[in-house]
Order: sequence, then structure tokens, then C-alpha cells
Amino acid sequence: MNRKYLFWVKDNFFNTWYNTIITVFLCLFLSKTLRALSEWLFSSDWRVIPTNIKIILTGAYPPDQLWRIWLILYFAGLMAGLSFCLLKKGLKWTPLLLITAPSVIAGLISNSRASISLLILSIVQISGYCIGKRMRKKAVLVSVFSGWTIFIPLMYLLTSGFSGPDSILPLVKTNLWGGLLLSMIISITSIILSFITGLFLALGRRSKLPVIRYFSIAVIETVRGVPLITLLFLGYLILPLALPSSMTLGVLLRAMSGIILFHAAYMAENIRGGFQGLSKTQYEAAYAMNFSSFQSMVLIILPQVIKNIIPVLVNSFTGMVKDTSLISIIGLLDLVGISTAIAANPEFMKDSQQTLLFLSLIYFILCYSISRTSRKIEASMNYNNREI
Amino acid sequence: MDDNTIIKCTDMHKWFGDFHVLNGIDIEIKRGEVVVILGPSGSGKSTFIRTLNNLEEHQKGKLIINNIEMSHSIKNINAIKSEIGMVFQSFNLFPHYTVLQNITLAPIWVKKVSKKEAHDNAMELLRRVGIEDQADKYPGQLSGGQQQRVAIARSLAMKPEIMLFDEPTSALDPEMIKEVLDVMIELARSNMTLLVVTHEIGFAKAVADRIVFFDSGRIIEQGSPEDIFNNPKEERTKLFLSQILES
Repeated sequence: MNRKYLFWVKDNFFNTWYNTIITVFLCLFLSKTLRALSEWLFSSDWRVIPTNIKIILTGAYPPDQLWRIWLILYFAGLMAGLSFCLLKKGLKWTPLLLITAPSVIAGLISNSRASISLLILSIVQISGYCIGKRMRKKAVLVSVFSGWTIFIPLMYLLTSGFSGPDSILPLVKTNLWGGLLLSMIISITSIILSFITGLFLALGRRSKLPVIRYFSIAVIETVRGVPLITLLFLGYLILPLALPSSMTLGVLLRAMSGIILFHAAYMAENIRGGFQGLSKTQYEAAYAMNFSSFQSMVLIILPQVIKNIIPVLVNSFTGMVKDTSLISIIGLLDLVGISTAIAANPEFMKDSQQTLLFLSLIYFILCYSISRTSRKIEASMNYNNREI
Repeated sequence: MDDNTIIKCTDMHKWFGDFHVLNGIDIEIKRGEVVVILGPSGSGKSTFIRTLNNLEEHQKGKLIINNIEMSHSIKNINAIKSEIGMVFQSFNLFPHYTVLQNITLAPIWVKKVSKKEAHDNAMELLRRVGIEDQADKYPGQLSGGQQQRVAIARSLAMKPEIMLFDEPTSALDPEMIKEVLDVMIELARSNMTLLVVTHEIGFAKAVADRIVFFDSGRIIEQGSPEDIFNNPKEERTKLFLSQILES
């Protein structure tokens, strides 16, 4: 057995004299760097993370109102559990990981209130899955669809609440939103809104009406020719000047409008690529069957186009999640903004690397789960080889 | 116009840029007639049947189908299209729907038929084309011959008066051609008006009421299968027939 491994090492790492040299040098290099890295990892003071975890996750959001955020998470968890029922072949390891992760984290942290809430989150997801398994497939589909549709309004309603003397949900102004909460809100909103806007721009670009077509082309080309950061500043500084003085938009809304517009232009081009990739004969078949152009778009063309461009879309979505970090430049305290704020605190000034590493980890988990989930969705939608 | 005429086409022209695809087509087709269109590739035969359901627009001349003139009026076009079913060379099934959904989709959304009725009718049609056991599969899981039979059933589900076949067997492996032709022969004998562009001489001999020979955008010669196959008058027809009978 041992000899087998030795042969494998010899065949793959030491098969020629130059491979031997490369192997030796790489080993030396890796051992040096890994050692330096692990020394840093174990010698540095990590208390900066647990001390600031509340503001990293939610910014200045009032602690006594945090149950509202948990409520949003529970709703999302329930919907996620239900959605997993729609995947072919039941639970695979990615959904399982998403379900078990909260309880694992709950076991790791000492804050008792947070661990209880995380455990509830796991339970909610599992029960969502169990309920979904008992429901008819069509009922699951309808509830998943309507659930995610009301998710964004619900998220905004619960996070911001409303003003009033005896309001059950006291108003929390957007300047108190921060950290992961703010990053997530901006990411989710801009993913969905830029997809919808991009879809309309792509359809507009294909329109037979010149006014609509040229308008769409103008928007797409102008926005694509401008860096995101200038759009952010434009939204921040010029939008208030362009709008009548009675209409004042919050900083958050102005920042988001820039992000949404920017990504909508790219999204529109992705979707247009999808339209061009679809065979002309599908349009002809739909036309010959006497579908109206709206029906043929919604029933026949779009489902195929969107399925074909899922990989491209996911690429843009992960890009969007990371691009939200730019809003820290106009003073919003998202994950990156918060980490700069923490680094500015004299107490933690020397610990900024730790915070940055932690942030990278959060972003990585977010983006990796998006890409894994999308691969699951893609596999579920593979109608050419259903058995595989 | 005779009551029995379903398609009447007078001096129809069409150009693709400089290319004169249809160069004055005059033809009258009766209800229930089975017309097979022959001709070399590029002769305009596919373009001709595609003008009948407005997949291509003719630029000059007059086209009257079922007493309605094909014009720019969307109402007219839709009225004509609802009487015409079309089967394509490459099947063109909707890959994201099951076989059954492919067939019920248009009746439900376009004709507003109830789901149950559409479903029952679809199963009936699948039985007719001999693949009711494949109803819940996706088109990608079927063989070419099966897909083409689904495509025929899908067109029939709209209860058209006229069926157009644009080289329905050209994309099929030889052993699958027969199963599709059998379905078409059954259709031809059921008194439906059929226009078939094909190179299947056997099919033409068996069921065609009339053979129409196209070349360079014109109808060169037409007549009963016996006339065309046994003593063609035009040199072009003779040459073409000798070429395809050889192969």
C-alpha cells in the first residue's frame, strides 16, 4: 500500500530531472510561506472579531430591534427549505450544508441569544423542507414563487419599520443599517432589480419600434462606457440636483440606483447573447402555432434563454455582490465600510488584517453558495438528459 | 372562386435581396387535396409553403386561403394561420416542455381550450401517431422519428384544415423515415389538405393527388403522379427525376 503511494509520488513529481527541481523549489517555497502565514494566524489577536461581530453583521442597527432581522432570516430559511424540495434527487450536500451551517456556527459561538436564534434558523429550514415534501409539487412551486416575490418588500418593511408613536415596528433610519445586513440588502435588491431592468433593456434592444430600440441602445452603451464608481458618485451628487426639490432620495437609494443601472446594462447584454444563441426555428415554431408574440416570449423563448445563460448570470450576480463594497466610498457602512471604521478605532488599529480576512471569508461564503446553488438549479433544469 | 378551393395563389412574387425566389406562382388547391411539391434545392418550394402561413411574406401577387386574403391585417393573418399546421424539417419541438405539454400548450393558450380537453385530445393524437407511452418524456429523450411524430401531433392539436410539411423526413435516419411517412399516409387518407415538400418519391406515388414541380421560383410542371413520373413533359423534370431516382 505504502509503496503504491511512493510510486504515485515518483511518477507525478519526480519523473524527470526538471520536474524534480520544480518540486523541490515549490516545496521549499510553500513551506516558507505557509509557516509565515500560520505563525501570523496563531500569534495575532483575534478578539477584534468577536468584540465587533455585532457591528460587522448589522452596523448600528438598534440591538433591541434585531429580532426583526432574525424574522427575515427565518422567512428566507423557510423559503430555502421549501425551494430545496424542488431540486431533483432531494437534498444534496450543498443544501445540507446551508441547513446545518447555522447550527454549527451556533455551537461555536458563546453568545447564547445568537446561538439560540441560529438553531431556530436551522430548525425552520428543516421544517420548510419537511413541509414541502408533504405538499403537492405544484403547491410547493406556487408557494416558493410567491414567497420569494414578497421577500424583498417584506425585507424592507421589517428592516426599516414605519414611524408613528405606538408603532410595533419603530422606524429604523437607513443610516443605522450597516455591515453584512446592508451589504445583503443592497446585493439582493440590485440582483433582482438589475435583472428585471436588464431584461427590459434587452427586449427593448430587439424591439421593432425604433424609439424603444434606440433608447435601449443609448442607455446600454452609455452606462457600459462609464466606470461603476463614477455612476455611484453621479447618483450620489447629481441625482438630487436633477430631481425636483420636493423629492429627496436617501443616500442608500441613490447609491443603489447607480449600481442597478450599471449592472442592468451588462445584464441586458448577457440576455441579448442568450437570445442570439437560441435557434431561430423556435420562434418560427411558436409563430406557426399562432402564439401571440407575448405568449411566445414568455412560454417558449424566455425559459430557454434564461436556462442557457444561468452560468453567465451567476457570474454577474457574484460580481454584483462584491461590487456592493464600493458603496463604502460614498460613506455607507457596509461590510467594507464597517471594517474601515473598526480599523480607525485606536483600540483595534493594528488588527485591520484580521478584520479584512474575516470579511473575505464572508464574501467568499456568499459568492460560493450562490455559485453552488446555481449549479444545482442548472442541473435540475437539464431537460435534455433528465436521468443524468 | 370555387367553394371547394382552399388555397388560391395568383402571380405571387418574392425576392431575397436580388434573388428572385418566387417568380410568379399561380396555383389553386382544393379542399382535401394532397399535393407533393418536388424540385431541386433553391427552387423556392420551401419558401412557397412558408408564405402560406406568413413565415415569409410575399411581395407581389395575391394569396387567398379559405376565402381570406393574406394581407398586412393581423386579423386576417391570424385567421389564416389558425387553419394551418406546419411540420418542420428539424422538428422544432419546445425542448423545455414534455411531449404532452408540447401538444397541449397551444390549444390551452391560443385556443383557450380547457386543460382536461386539451390533455384528452393530446393523448388521442399521441395514440394516433403511435407514441402515447412517451407522453411524459422530454423531446431530447426521443429519437428523431418519434420527435417528428410528436411535431405532427402538436400541429394536429390545433385542428387545422391544411397541413404543411417542409421536408419532414430529410433530417431523419433512414430507418426512421418509414414511421413518419406512415403517419403522413394515414393523414393523407383522412381527407385533410396536405402540402408536402419532400424527396420521398414512394410517398408521392402512394398518396399524392397532384405533383407540382418547382424550378427557379416557378411551377414548371404539374399533374397526377402517373403523368409526372411516367411521362414528364419538361426536360428539367426529367433530369431531376432521373437524378433522384438514381440515388
